[in-house]
Amino acid sequence: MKFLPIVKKDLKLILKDKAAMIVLFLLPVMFISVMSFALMPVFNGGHDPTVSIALIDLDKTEESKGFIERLRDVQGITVVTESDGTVFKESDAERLILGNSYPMAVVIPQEFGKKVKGNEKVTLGGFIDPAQYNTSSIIVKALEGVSSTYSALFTIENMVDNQIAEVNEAVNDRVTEMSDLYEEKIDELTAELDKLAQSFPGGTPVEREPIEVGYMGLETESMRDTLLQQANDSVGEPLITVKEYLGVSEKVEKPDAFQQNVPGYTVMFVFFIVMFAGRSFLAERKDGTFRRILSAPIGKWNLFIGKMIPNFLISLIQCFVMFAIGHFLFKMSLGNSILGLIGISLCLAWASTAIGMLIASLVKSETQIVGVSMMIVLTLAALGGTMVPLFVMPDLMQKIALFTPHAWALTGYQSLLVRGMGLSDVWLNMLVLFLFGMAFITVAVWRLRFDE
Amino acid sequence: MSIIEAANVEKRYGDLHVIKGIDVTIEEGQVFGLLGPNGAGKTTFISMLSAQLPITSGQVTIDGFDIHVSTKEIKRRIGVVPQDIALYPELNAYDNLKFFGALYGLKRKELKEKIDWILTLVGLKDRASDPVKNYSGGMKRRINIAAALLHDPRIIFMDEPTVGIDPQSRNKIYELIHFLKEQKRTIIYTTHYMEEASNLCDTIAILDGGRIIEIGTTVDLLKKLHGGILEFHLDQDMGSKEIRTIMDTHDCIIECLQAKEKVGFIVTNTQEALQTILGSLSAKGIKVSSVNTMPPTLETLFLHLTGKELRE
Ligand SMILES: Nc1ncnc2c1ncn2[C@@H]1O[C@H](COP(=O)(O)OP(=O)(O)O)[C@@H](O)[C@H]1O
Ligand SMILES: [Mg+2]
Repeated sequence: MKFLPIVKKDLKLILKDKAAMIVLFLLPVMFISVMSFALMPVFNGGHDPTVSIALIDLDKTEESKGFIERLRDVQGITVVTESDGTVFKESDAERLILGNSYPMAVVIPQEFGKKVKGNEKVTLGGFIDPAQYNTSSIIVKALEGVSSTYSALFTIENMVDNQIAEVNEAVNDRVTEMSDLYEEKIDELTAELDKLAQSFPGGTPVEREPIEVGYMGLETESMRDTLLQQANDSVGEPLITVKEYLGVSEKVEKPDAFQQNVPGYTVMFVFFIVMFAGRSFLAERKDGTFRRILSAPIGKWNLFIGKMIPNFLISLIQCFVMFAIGHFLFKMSLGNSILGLIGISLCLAWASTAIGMLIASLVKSETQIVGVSMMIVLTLAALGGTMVPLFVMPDLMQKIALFTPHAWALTGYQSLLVRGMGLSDVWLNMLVLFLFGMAFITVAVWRLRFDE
Repeated sequence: MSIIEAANVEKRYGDLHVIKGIDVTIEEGQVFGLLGPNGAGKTTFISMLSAQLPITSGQVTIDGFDIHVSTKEIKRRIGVVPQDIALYPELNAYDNLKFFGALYGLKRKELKEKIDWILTLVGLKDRASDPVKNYSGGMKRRINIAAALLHDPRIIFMDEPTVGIDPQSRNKIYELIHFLKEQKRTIIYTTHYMEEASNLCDTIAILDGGRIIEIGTTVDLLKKLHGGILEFHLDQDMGSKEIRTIMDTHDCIIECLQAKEKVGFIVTNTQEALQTILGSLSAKGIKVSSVNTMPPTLETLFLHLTGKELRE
């Protein structure tokens, strides 16, 4: 435990460092508050339906109306098709957007119904207010979700219809075949009987009553309904994902803006420790205090661990403070697993500490700290989805995000907070964070020099 | 057995040969001075003795422990006062001392007592709760020394502990060294201040260019200069024959150092010698443009040994 004095000393130093305290604690709290209140309408579905979109239906068929109904079912979106009793026209779209009334206007094209039924591709038109890009990108995701389930329904309906037609045809064939066979036999029989009858004197010729053979068709209506019902149930799943895009899952309590922003900014700012780790190493090297520590009977490993633990503790405290503020001040739900939150937080703190040691082992000047470490930290934060939510990112970006510890921490937190999962559901996130940390530490140990 | 024994110690940085083979033995309870100009290798040498810097070649034992083997044992027994102030400016003196004391395993009550004791000793008890960054240079130096003494080391390395400070702080530090000396601590003290070395040190090694060029007790070293050096600047070269005759005619001249238009004599007494030598020179018709009287100090010795001024 020879590293203990070093731990205490560094904690004392960082607690005295006003800039560090502001960056590590005050700034994330401010970001969480400001961003959450600013984006409240986007996330806060349910109570007051918040995002209104203008919808212009040029098709006006059963299918387009069904689609609109489904859109209305998505919580958090209000679909407006008319104002003051006049139905929106295509020419209104631009005006509606520029008038700032709607972040987005969606146009259902003519022949929408026909194409959907015919399983053809349909493209919805959309007008987007670039100033409200974040909101509209969420809506686009929702639209995509609804569209894919809706079109899937028609695909299934078509499939069911085809199936029934095929069954009908097959049965019909068999029946015709059978009746042909019977008719032949009956004809033969009739002929025999006729012969027999005519061999008797006064016999009347036998004539066959024409037999009505025909297949009336199966009772397909109920069969079709059952099939459809089952198919519908099985594609019902994606609909839920659509709802989650808007942060409204029915499985757990509703996630709010805070459940998005608290983990997001916690993850982002936990990594800011990197800057202070770098600074601390630089100062100790420059002031000769590392050398002085090593002139005491203290090994390099003890010094390394002593320098690492305070950053780890600070990161943990950051997580604790942010979630506590989120929970107690902003009434954010913590999900169902405190243990899971602790698990992710421990692994996150480990990863950030490790990257801190890495940067500390590499930086040679104050300029590098500000330049290199800030660039790395901010780039990773942006890529990792702490600023712009991952779900609005294109697929490629979402894949790139997997190369940042941020994304793993964030998705871990959100699984716990938003999807109500438990510790066992986020083990992969924890493992990946741990491995990130191991990799960083390995390089740090390899590169680290305590003296100049 | 001597408390410090160094044999043929060398240090190289690549092609740069910084310490070129040093042998010293230091007895327990001595104040051992390493005197030399900037860049002589003082810091490098004591960093090797205090196990902070690997030795390129050579043998060192400290209190019987081989430095290549028992660095931990050695580090426990020594206190190191770095040349540059190595403290945490944001922490106050008390917390700084607490930290460095804790590194040596001092705890709670004992640590607190030691801190109080050392703060009193360096005269900074009333400023103990001020951040070190608000201290004057001299006060920082005093805490810098104090931090190396908390664990009561038997051997103390001090690397130019009085550079650039006010007289008050300097006197405090001298007092402290006298105190440590009474406690029979062994002190290795580097400096480029002559008076300091001659006032404080029992033994002095003069270091230049990575070599010890002179070593001895302070008294012995100063004796080498007898009464001092007289340096005459002449208008013309003087033949060695003439110099020989002058040396032979005056008993007060012990040694002669000659360089073209400059002649120096180590003499028993500069006052007496000046009169008689001047007389002889003018008798021979040699004109003297100026005379330099140098007292028997280490400064003069260094100049005499190297031809260089000690102070930059
Ligand atoms: N880490 C190093 N790498 C290369 N040269 C060094 C290093 N440390 C010291 N030196 C050189 O060794 C010489 C002696 O330095 P130092 O021991 O600091 O002298 P002093 O303490 O007597 O002023 C100097 O010429 C210095 O440039
Ligand atoms: Mg030096």
